[in-house]
Amino acid sequence: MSSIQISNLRKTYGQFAAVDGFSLEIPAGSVFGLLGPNGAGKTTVFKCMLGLARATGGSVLYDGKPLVPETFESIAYVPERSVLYEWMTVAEHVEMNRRAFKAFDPARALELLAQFNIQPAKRSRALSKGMRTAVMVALAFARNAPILVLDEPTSGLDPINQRHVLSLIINEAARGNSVLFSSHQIGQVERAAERIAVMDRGRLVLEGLVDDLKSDRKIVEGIFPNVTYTLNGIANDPRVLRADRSERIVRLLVRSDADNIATMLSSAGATGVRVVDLNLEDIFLFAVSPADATADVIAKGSS
Amino acid sequence: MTYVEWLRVGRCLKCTAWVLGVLLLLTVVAEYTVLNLGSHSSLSEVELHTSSGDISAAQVFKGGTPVHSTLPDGTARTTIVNATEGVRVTIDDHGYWGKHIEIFERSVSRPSKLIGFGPLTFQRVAVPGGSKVAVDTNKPEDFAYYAAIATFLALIVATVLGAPFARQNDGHLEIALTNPAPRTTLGLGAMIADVTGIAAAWLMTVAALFIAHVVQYAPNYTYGTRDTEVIALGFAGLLAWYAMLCAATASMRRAYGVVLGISWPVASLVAVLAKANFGDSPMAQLVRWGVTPLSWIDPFNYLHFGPAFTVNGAPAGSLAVSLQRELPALLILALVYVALAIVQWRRVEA
Repeated sequence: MSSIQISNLRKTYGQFAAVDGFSLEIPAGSVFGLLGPNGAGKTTVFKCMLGLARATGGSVLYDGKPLVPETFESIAYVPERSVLYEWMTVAEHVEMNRRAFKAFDPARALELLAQFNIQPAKRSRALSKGMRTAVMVALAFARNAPILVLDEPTSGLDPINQRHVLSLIINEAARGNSVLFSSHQIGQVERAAERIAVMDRGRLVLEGLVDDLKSDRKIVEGIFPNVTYTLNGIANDPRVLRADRSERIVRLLVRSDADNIATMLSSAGATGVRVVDLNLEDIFLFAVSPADATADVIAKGSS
Repeated sequence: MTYVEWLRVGRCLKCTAWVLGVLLLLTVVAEYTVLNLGSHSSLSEVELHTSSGDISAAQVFKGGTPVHSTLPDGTARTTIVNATEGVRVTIDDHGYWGKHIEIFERSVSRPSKLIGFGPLTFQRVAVPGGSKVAVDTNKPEDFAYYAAIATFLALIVATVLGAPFARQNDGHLEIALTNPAPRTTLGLGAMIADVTGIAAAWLMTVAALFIAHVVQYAPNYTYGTRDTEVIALGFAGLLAWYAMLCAATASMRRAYGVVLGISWPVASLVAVLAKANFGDSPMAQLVRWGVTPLSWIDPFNYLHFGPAFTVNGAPAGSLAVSLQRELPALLILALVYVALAIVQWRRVEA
């Protein structure tokens, strides 16, 4: 069981801050999904965590200790792109891992490769993008490492193998191992992760247990009879996290007491007011986008 | 990473074995055909000074009458006399132990330079009434001859293997850097694998040369201090060259192939220009000013293959200076370049 503490992590390239004051604590034995739009800094966070890139500031601790080469006996990493040697066979990659890591289980690796329908005698260059990802995933899961860091581990995989990778992730958590993974497939994250963190432009914008985030937040939606209407200060209510308007439709992201807010919206003249449960995709989109494409954000205080 | 480097070395040595195999085959074929000394065509390189002017020994053969005899010790002797040209050729064929050929010519106005190679030696001596060219096909040879050729081939292998860090940087750094071993250990491990491969290529070349020799002639070697010195100088040169390429490419990701490709022409040019005498013109001084400092860090500047050749029967190169100055220089260069390569690679980010 290993935990990871990331404190105030910062990585800059010239004037550009790829990661800016990112802090996160990943409890031991949890599956943690890291979400964010392209360029949010997820991969950079992984690289800084693993010492692949030197952080400009901040610290990363594994069970309270800084990263040293020996720590990698406990960390398995799947990068977002293939790092396999094109000229080597899959079996040679298995052997490479066997020599490098004490806890690596070659039999388990071959078993996983068989499950992904990959022949060990094949050279990497003969594998498709998805198969290369599968090889890297198989090698990582055969490591028996207490911490798995997976950067888009389902990239390029077909739906069957994507489901298989998710099952592997969940199994690792059941064995008490920590998994930190990123994915653009929010449905997968929702299925596998118990906690999520959302990054945007190098910063952490949301973090918590998936169930809590979903139960805490609701959308209150209503339709006004005219395009010109006022919300009577509802958008300024501290329970309202955000208010979006699209023509006559108003959507309010509400942290708590959604029924009360719905009553207030009805009182303001809205009809068909309803309270909608959020899924993870809604939570993600509200966290990272200023507004959905068809809506204007109602600036809080102007309503 | 070290395992990967061993695999890469294995593949490189496999290619080296193929190349040596093909060269060995060609050499054996050549030994039985073109280089079959004693035949008319084989001595075409030996230029004789005859009454008809300077002509090759092979031409003299054609106009002569061969007489065959057997000496008491069993040696087959062929004597060819060409009275018109004033040339007499005696070929003593010792079979597997080689041939001794003597070509007598009446006068020598301009003794030419006869360059020998390995077991094949040419020597011109003045004798009453003219001069004599002695050709031996299996003279006792210094091991230095093999060492020099093997060093040359191993330099090519060192160039092929010379960018272990750049190859790792080119899309595989995550593998190396998530390894539970310090970067310095990984880097040194990869370099040790490569150096072992370079040494193996050197030994393979020596073995191939030996086979090429014994296919036609009996082994006939000498080994002395000079040979050890040649080997030491060669290995120091190989280390320095390989380490220089590692240092030059350690922080690169993709363009390392260009560096490896231009390394030979650039290093050779620097070494040649550093030793050339262009006089004292301003241009010559400018070239000297630019090239001399470069030559100090160029391993090629300290390497030479003179000991592989003989000129008129004597070794073409001296090693006395090499051992006092060039060997230490190469070893220092090797150490500095290894350190530079490791320091640079430790700074590379994925």
